[in-house]
Amino acid sequence: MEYKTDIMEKEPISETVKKILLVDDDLDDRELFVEAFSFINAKSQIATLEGSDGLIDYLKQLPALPDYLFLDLNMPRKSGKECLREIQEHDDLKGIKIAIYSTSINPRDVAETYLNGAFCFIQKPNSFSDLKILLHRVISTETRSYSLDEGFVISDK
Amino acid sequence: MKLADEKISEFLDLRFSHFSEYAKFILSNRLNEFVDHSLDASFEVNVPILKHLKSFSRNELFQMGINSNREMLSAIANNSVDQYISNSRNNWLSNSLSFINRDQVIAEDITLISYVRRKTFRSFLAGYTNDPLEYIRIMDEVDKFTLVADSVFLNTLIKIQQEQIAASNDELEKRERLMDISEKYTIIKRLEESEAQNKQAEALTHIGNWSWIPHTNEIRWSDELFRIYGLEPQSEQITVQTFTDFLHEEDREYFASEWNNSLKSMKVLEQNFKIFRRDGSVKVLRSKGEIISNFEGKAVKVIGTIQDITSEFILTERLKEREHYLNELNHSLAQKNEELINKNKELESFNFITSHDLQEPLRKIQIFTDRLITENHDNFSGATLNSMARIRDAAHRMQKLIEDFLEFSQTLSPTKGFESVDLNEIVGEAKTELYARLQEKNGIVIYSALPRIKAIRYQMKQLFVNLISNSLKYAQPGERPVIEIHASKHENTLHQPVFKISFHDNGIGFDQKYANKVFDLFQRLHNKNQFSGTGIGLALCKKICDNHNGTITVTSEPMIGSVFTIHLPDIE
Repeated sequence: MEYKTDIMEKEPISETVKKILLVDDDLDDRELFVEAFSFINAKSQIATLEGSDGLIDYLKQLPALPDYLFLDLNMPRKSGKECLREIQEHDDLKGIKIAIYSTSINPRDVAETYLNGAFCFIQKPNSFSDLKILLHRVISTETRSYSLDEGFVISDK
Repeated sequence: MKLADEKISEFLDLRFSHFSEYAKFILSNRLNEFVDHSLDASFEVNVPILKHLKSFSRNELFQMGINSNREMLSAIANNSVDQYISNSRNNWLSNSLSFINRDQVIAEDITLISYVRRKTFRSFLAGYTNDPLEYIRIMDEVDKFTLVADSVFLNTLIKIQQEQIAASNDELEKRERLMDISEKYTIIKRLEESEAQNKQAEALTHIGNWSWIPHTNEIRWSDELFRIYGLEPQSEQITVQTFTDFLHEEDREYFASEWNNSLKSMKVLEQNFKIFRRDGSVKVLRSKGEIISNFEGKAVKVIGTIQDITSEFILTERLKEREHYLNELNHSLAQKNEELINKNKELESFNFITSHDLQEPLRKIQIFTDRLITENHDNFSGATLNSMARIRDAAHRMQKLIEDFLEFSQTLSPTKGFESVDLNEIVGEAKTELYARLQEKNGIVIYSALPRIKAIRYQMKQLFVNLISNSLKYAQPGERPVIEIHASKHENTLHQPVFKISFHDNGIGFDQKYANKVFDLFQRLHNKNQFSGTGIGLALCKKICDNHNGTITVTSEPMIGSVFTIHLPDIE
């Protein structure tokens, strides 16, 4: 297998300040996520939560809503799908772009989260360089893909 | 009264699939032996009707057997058993049976012939199939056939006998109204005389007669009634006590009170009861009595018939049992079905959870080794980098395996969601999915106009993607992969329409002796390092064809290419 060249380190990347929140119960994934962003956009504000409990309250007390919310699907107590549904019920939270962030792609989950208004569905990649590429692609996209088949699922495969 | 045979055909479907094929086989290969065997078996159990066929030679009986068995087997083979049974019954009712008079048939003929049939069908099965499942299916259908035939014929027999009884009763009633008492006595006399003539008919129909004159307490039984009770004709003096002696103790009181009631009310006495013969055997009898009164309304004579309905009774009991058994079977089948659905659901969630949780650590191994390799590239020796790359690749392979396995196990779930699918669209979608691989290998997919079929859409896509991707993977080095897809419509051996879809490639092919192996799960013909893959792709293709009641086969030649051929039934 060839080693992938790390283009992210070489090219200057978007300089706009982006507020990003990740909710994931997996410590490794939270660390990798934060590190990946430090390569992509130094000015991003990254926050992480290790569980989905009290997510709505947390969001509501923030001075400004995050631009992007990355939601792990498989979490104890409240799954990412449930969080997604809940957030959509609050009109004041609708401006957040919600990216599903999951290890596996189950077609049923993809369809359900698409219908519930998720911004995109990311499959956690197997290499760090791919992670940087995928995350960069997400925060450089402003509009939600217009169909389930084109661009909604973001994966290294 | 509703005939029992109508009831049966309601719950037994007389269209056969296995039995009819078997009947065809006998018709065209073993008819002579089949008839010979039937005749031998009939003589062995001494079917009573043979008495009336004594004038025929064995050869003549054989010829008659050929004709009648050919008629029966053809009916089974052509699935016109209903027609056959009802024709036989009508011929019998209208007394147009060849060689036999309508009144010569007795219950034992029906049950014994049925026994002979089952036995003969069973004897020839071994020469027809070795498959125990097929054996059971055929015998199950043979049972259905004989069950319905027996029941129809026994009911016909009862009908004939009822007609005979009704005929004699009608005559009596009609004349009673028209004539005076003295004439009535003449009729009774005449009836008594005719009783003698009826003796032979009695023996054939198993109906015995009795009469009782109240003022003399004289009771007379016909010869057949003695036989029904297991006694030598006219061997003893019959009293009222004789009737009750043969009854079960618990029935005696009831029988006596019914008897008195009907004498008082001058009504017809009719009932079924069990008797215990002196040799210990049990018979079920149907009794019908009629009271003849004088002008003062006093009973002067009671006459009646008693019919042995044991075999009919046993058959009805057996039918009830059978019905009960079928109901139970249905019930347990429904239960099993429910269990299976639950098991499937369990399995589905089990599959998903395990594969999801298994993928998690594998992804971590890959992402961290990958980081080590890319970020510390300059600090490690070539050997270390190589080892780490191998760790990463092994984890990747395992992850791929789990993904494919998950996909395969999801394809196992019960098939639903059949819809009309345009295969041209499916090829288009498959090409889009394989775009990068087609580009990389410079491969092309050529296809003529493909049909629209009833199928599960996403499974059709899986099938096409897997077959095309398989051809790309096993392309000949240095040669441009060309995959051709063609479709045509045919009839299979059962004259049902099927679609034949073939995938030709110019890949490396393989020795035809592996043709069956390639569809087995985890079977690989090549070394892992030569070609990547998990050995699930073609197993998945086979599973999908199975789900659609179709087949997939392959012919291949090394260094020439392979042809995968799919047959799918046209269910539109």
